[in-house]
Amino acid sequence: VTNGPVDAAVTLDEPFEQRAILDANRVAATLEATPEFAGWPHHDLARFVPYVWERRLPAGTVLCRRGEPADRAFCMVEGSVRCSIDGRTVSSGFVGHEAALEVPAYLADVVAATDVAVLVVTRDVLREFGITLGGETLFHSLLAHHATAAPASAAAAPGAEADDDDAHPRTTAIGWVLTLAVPALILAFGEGFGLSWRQRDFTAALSICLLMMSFNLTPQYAAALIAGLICLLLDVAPASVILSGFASDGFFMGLGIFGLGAVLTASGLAERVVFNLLRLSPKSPFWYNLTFLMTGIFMTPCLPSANTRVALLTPLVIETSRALGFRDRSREATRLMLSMFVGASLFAPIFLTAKSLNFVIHSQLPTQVHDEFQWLKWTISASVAGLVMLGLYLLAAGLTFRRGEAPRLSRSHLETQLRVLGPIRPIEWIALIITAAFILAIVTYSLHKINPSWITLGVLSVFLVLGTLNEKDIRHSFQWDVLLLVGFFIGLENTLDYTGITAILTEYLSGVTAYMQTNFLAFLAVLGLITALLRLFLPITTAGVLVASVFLPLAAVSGVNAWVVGFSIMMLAETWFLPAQCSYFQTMEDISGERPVHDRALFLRLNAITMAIRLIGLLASIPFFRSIGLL
Amino acid sequence: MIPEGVPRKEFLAALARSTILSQCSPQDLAKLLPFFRERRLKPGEALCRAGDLADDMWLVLRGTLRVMRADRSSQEVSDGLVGEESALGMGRYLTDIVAADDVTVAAFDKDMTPRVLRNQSPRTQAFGRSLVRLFAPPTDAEPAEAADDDRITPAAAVWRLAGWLTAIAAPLLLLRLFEGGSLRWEQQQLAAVLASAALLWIFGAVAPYVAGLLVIMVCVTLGIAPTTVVLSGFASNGFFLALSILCLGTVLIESGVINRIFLLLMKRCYTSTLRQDFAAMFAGFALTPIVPSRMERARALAPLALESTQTLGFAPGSRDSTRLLISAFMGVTLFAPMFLTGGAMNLMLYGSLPEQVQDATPGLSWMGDALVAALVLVAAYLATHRLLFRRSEASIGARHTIEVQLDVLGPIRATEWLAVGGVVLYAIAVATVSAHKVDHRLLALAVVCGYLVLGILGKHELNLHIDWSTLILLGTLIGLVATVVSVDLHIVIADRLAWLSDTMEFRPRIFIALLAACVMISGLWVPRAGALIGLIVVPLAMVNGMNPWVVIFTILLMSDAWLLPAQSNIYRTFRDMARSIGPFDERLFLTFNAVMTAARIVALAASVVYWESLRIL
Repeated sequence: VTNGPVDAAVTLDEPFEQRAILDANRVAATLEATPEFAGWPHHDLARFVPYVWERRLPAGTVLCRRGEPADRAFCMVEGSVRCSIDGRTVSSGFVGHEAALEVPAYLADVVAATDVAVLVVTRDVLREFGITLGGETLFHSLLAHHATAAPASAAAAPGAEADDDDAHPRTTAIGWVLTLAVPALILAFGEGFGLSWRQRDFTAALSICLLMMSFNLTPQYAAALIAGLICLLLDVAPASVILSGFASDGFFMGLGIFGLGAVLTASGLAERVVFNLLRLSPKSPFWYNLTFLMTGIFMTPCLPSANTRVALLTPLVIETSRALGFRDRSREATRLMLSMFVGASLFAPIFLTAKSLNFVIHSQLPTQVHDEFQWLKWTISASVAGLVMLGLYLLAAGLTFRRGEAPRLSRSHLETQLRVLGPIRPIEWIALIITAAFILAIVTYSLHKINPSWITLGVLSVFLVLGTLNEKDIRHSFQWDVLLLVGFFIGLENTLDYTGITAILTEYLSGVTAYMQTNFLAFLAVLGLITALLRLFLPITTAGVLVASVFLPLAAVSGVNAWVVGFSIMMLAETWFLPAQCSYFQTMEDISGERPVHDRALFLRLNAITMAIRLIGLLASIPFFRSIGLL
Repeated sequence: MIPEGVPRKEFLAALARSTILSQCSPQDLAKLLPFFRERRLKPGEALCRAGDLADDMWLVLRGTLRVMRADRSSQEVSDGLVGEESALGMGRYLTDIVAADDVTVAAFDKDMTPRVLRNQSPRTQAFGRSLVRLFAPPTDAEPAEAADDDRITPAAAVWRLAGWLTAIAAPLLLLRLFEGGSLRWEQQQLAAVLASAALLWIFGAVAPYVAGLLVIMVCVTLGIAPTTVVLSGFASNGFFLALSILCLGTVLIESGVINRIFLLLMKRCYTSTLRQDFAAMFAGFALTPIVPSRMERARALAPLALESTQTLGFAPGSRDSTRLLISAFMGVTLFAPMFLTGGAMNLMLYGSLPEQVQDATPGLSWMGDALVAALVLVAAYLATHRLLFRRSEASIGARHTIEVQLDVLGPIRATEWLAVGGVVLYAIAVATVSAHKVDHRLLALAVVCGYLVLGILGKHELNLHIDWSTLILLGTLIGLVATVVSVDLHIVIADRLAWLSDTMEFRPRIFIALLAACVMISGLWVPRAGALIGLIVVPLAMVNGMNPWVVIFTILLMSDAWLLPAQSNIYRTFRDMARSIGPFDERLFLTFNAVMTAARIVALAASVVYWESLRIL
């Protein structure tokens, strides 16, 4: 050490604009060689980059002072530092990372022994990447033997907080009472309303399912399973009908799409696409927002769950927002999050393979319409709604965010991210090629006439044969609870038909049927009202399926194209205003954690506008439907 | 086992003083106790030196230890743990630890560390280790951690390649052979597809469930049979029976009640060798109809059996240790064919039967028809046991350890009551099917619904603890048998293999012998060979008027027969667990198993006579 210690505490708090990476190549190489990062997938390491910045410090600078808050760690890039424990020098890996064990203060002094270059990482970033150990662990116990000041046991890490117990005992009790009373009443008086025993028993079973779902008494799949079991036990229909959902193309399409989603998520292809788009796009808020909007739209047909899409893209938005220098909860950061959210969710009804609800409704369509409306025809028919929504959203966003902060994207960070990603890896090639082949096969359905469900199953089989997916992925990456829900819902819908309840409903709702034929707008208003009421209690899929199971058969009877009705139901069922109504909004908030980049109130206000856009999109489609003979 | 010289209360107090061990669940702690080894140190004696290989961790029971630090200061430790480097996978101890006065510690091997203590993410572990090393630099190069080597050997790669080549060539060849023949188009296509998938399966080119998926994909794409038929396996009662039983088993295992029941059994039975073996075997027997996955049963019971060998004071690799492991292994595997829900393959083959046959074969009737085989196997086990294990060590100190384990477990928890309650309810419902007439395949699903409502079974367990790949195989196999029947391929095969049909019809004994030999031989290298054989033979039996249950039982009984360690992953699980704590007498185990394999043949022969008397053959 040539000079006396230089206190660096103030100089490390440099303003955001000065946080940069000085040598992208060297930093990328350092990150890859750092032992603490061994085993990290490249795309995760690339996601880490926007949070760190490089500092060059002269010899003698104090990086950590024992007893001071351990709020940042340092990854050595060049030079060496000396630890006060035994005077040893360290020239690679991390120092000052007490935060990893949630130790509140540094346990030793760390001083630059030579001129050094380090990457600065804050405690929050370590936490966000899951590098934190709260409470008492073997590491704390071992460290306590060796560090002179025993590490204080800090509280458990955020994220592992206690379950948010928001169950309201009174509501739950009312739910259980109704779940017992309503089916009992149906069983007692059902025949008085002209129902046969099959219809009576099935209605009772269905009421149990719906009440359990409405009052959140059990998870959705459990409620559907219970209804299915009751139908089987009471023999309201043959098992082959009640369980028919599990032998349906909708179920297998869901299975295949989960496989595709798992590979896309694990490959890091999404990260590479986003980084490259950001690199190529002009330096303006419009283009950055468009990047996320289009990424979301591109992913919509490839990943069959809005939850998964939002979960995959939310961290990328957070990282990009911070890398662009947007303040958390600022208008620009909120806009970026909204663009991603809209891209990943608003266009779900436009693509057959975007959501489980779409599969279920597709399975419920009459056979002829089902076969006709495969992926391409579906997308073309819904395209006007999609384009109108896209145009209106861009217009609304442009008007709302006329004056925003200028982005300050650090090109050096982006360069480092791309360097860390390196050349395209085999798994990315596989994901890319298979996805392209999948989309091509689906788009060319009219040529080969192979049901897209079997194409999707083929994609899954290819991944399994190539070993890109294995048994472990089948457990970890497939949402079997969702597949059970899909299977039972399709089965219950078929049972509804088998028991003849559909015919009864058709008769009862003949007034609405008349609207359907004569005044489609009035019909949409009724449909919207019913769906909105149901959506106050039921999640998107459940409400959508329920409305579809009543109105799709009606459409068939009244000669209105069932797909148009199904599409309208999907558009209306996706409408939401309260956070509790939308699971993928909750997913986004969960991932954002305690430090969200978006302003919640502003986000919800803007969401209300997108809901209006959705309705306009639906209404704007009606002339198009008429022009192509669907209405 | 727990040091005899340390009173129960003092030991429990030492456990409670460890802030780390107190975070473990009672079940984890109870499992750890038998593996404790007492060690006494005189003042100045070293417990470990910096740079020594870190294999053990120690709980301080009495006295004070001194941990020497890198900055030449020291820390005195008189309770809690030392030697954490071992459990953290750091390879070597970082420092000297010496006794400051008379010290007693309880040592345990790093592999025995409760999982919850090692459960940190690999990322956090890397940062944690790095931070610790900053304060206590390693004095020696750390031994490299054994990396999981998933690479396949060149021979296996060639074998798989051969599988792919034959799987591509065989259907082309078959289709060429069928040209101009009497087979209908769909029969030709199905035969070709089945042959191709079977070759992929036999050569291990893909996992069996992937082969199944490939076949159904081709069948639905080519329109060989209606999709409702090809996919019928997934919409069958058999599929949901399997799903329900897997859920039931998951709840039972996750509740931890098996651990408690096993300890209570051992507490009553530890005094004599035969009783010990009875306890170990009975646990496996009792789990067989509730936990259909052999592997899950093995994962639940092998650690308990191993723990008992320590509790009973048997040295690793000793005859007594091996004896207890054999008994647990036999309990896990021997009775699988005797119950409808005893194994995944049972459910697969059962599900492939026509609905009427399934209805006519409830669980009780299955057990009744398998009774003779079960009795023969138990008799063979007892005889072999007597022959090989006449002289056994007396166990010492077991009661003390078991009582402390039960103390640690505490009172029975609600989830344990509910898990057992559900199983008992299911057993009663199955036993009284004739009274309530409810489809026996739906009873388990009803119990599962109860668990879902009570929140014992959740999304996490459903997604992660259920063997979905086996369920996919089950669904595809059931569907494929239906497809074979639907396109009458089984009739074509029966016509082409007239000698086989004749043998089935007129010389059933010879057919059973042939089938048994075929299953045993193919089991030497084909995974789940029985399921593959069943796919063809079960429909053939239906055509030729042979009771398909007899065929299924024969396949199941002989599928479990094995001679080479490579054939049984359950055996390898037992062996690897045993080797994790010391030597293992493989020869003795394999000898016992070879005798039991021969006993299976005798059991089958006896069963044939029994079935003939019952007129089911």
